[in-house]
Amino acid sequence: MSVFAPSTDTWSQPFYEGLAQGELRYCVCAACSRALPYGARVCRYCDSAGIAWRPAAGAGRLCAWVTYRRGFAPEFPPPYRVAMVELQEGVRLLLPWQGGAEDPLRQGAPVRVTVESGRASAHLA
Amino acid sequence: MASSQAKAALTGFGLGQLSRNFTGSARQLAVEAILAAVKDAGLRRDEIDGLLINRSPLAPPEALPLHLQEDLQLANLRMMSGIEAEGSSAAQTVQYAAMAVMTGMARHVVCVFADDPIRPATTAGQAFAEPVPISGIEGWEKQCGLFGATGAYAMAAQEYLAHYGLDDTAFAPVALGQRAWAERNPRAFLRAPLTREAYLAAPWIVEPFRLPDCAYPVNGAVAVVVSAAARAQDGPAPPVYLHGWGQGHGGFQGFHGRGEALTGAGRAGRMAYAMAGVTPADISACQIYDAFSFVVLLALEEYGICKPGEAAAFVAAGETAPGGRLPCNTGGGQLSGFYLQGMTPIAEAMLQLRGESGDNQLQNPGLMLVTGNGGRLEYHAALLMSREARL
Ligand SMILES: [Zn+2]
Repeated sequence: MSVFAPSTDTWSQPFYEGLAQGELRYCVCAACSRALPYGARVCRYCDSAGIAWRPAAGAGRLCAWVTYRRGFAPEFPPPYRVAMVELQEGVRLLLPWQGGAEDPLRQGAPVRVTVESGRASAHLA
Repeated sequence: MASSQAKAALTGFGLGQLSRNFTGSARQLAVEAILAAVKDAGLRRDEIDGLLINRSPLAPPEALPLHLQEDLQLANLRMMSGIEAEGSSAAQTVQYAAMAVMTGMARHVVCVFADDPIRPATTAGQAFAEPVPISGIEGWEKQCGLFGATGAYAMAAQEYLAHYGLDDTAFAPVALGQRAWAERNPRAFLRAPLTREAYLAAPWIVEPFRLPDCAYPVNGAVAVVVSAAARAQDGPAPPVYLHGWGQGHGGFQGFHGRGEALTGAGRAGRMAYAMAGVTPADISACQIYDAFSFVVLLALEEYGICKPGEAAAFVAAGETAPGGRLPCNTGGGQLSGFYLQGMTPIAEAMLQLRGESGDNQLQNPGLMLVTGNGGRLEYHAALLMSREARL
């Protein structure tokens, strides 16, 4: 099975549906509208269990990155990078990195997140 | 140091054959380890009235089932469970066993971990390639190419390095120091001397981790017997006393510019220190869960032994290596000794405190901090152990 086979988890569905429509989404509390970390099933601020999804602006900053020098799946031939990005909405999102595996990177660097053909990735802004 | 009376004791220790080959299923290895531990404790099989089972989170439930009870024909169990908190499980089994013997729920509890990741058709690398969830989005790690615990830990490690302005050589002293312990340990799997040059020339797996930054998986099993502290002298083996323990759960969410603890390990440590009436300054040796070299640095800081960002310099100064002021992972740890998840540090602690560490034996192992860490830095459990029944 391809690594890109869609998840069947119901909580994650709106995220994947967003990508299929070319939209990057993050979640907020339906009651108080504050941004919640991906995976939260309740609001950490007001205990509400209602989660709503919103389109993200696609801007953020680079928190961390790793460079795979060994391959684990045919869809990802090494070397390649994966990044942890903090979206400007205030939540962290793991993303495939678009850019050379040897390019110098800096923690805190501004990044852009783009969605193309249903796939999200991050690159230096 | 405040006075602490031991809460419970580890009275037996046993191994199921440790090997890089498939010599038997995890279930068989568990039976072997348990029989050895019970014998080591000087007990009869029917005196075992508690059984706590720790299975690898990557193994299916049937790999190490509750049916171990029937395998071992344990007819007198008054407590039994599988404990599932990933790499923190082994330390947790010892904690729950200690609470059971303290309350009289059970008298002699066996805690066992067994695993057989290396099969005729499976290499260790393949066995541990499954993604570790860190994104909060089901299935997303795979779609990002973040395979294996290696990638998930490397992400935290890289953020740590960048935050403190360290480079990718910061982990070298951890790997070199532990290899130095392993060189003198006949039980260790990686005993060839490791030079800084060889470390730096080793292949990257997931940058910032090179091959020697990653644990060395084996097949095998470890079992320990936990008994009441007052009964510990009855057995033939030198008792190892438990003075404190704690847990803390919460994953690495990054720095966010805060000064607070980065994971739940800090809470686990504070609870253990308070229970034993000690402070981090009273710790004289550590056995740290070290699936990756980076985890040792983070643990030294989270458990209050080093200030945030200072563990790399502490380890680079040789403090944790043979001859250092705070010996750590004195059998080589999971990096060079053997990787049997949370039981590796417990096994190393028991051997040290029983005086069975051969050329690595510490003159006075003192009060030892033993840690477990599971998930991607999410689940933490700590134990404080000593030869002394009273601190
Ligand atoms: Zn809310």
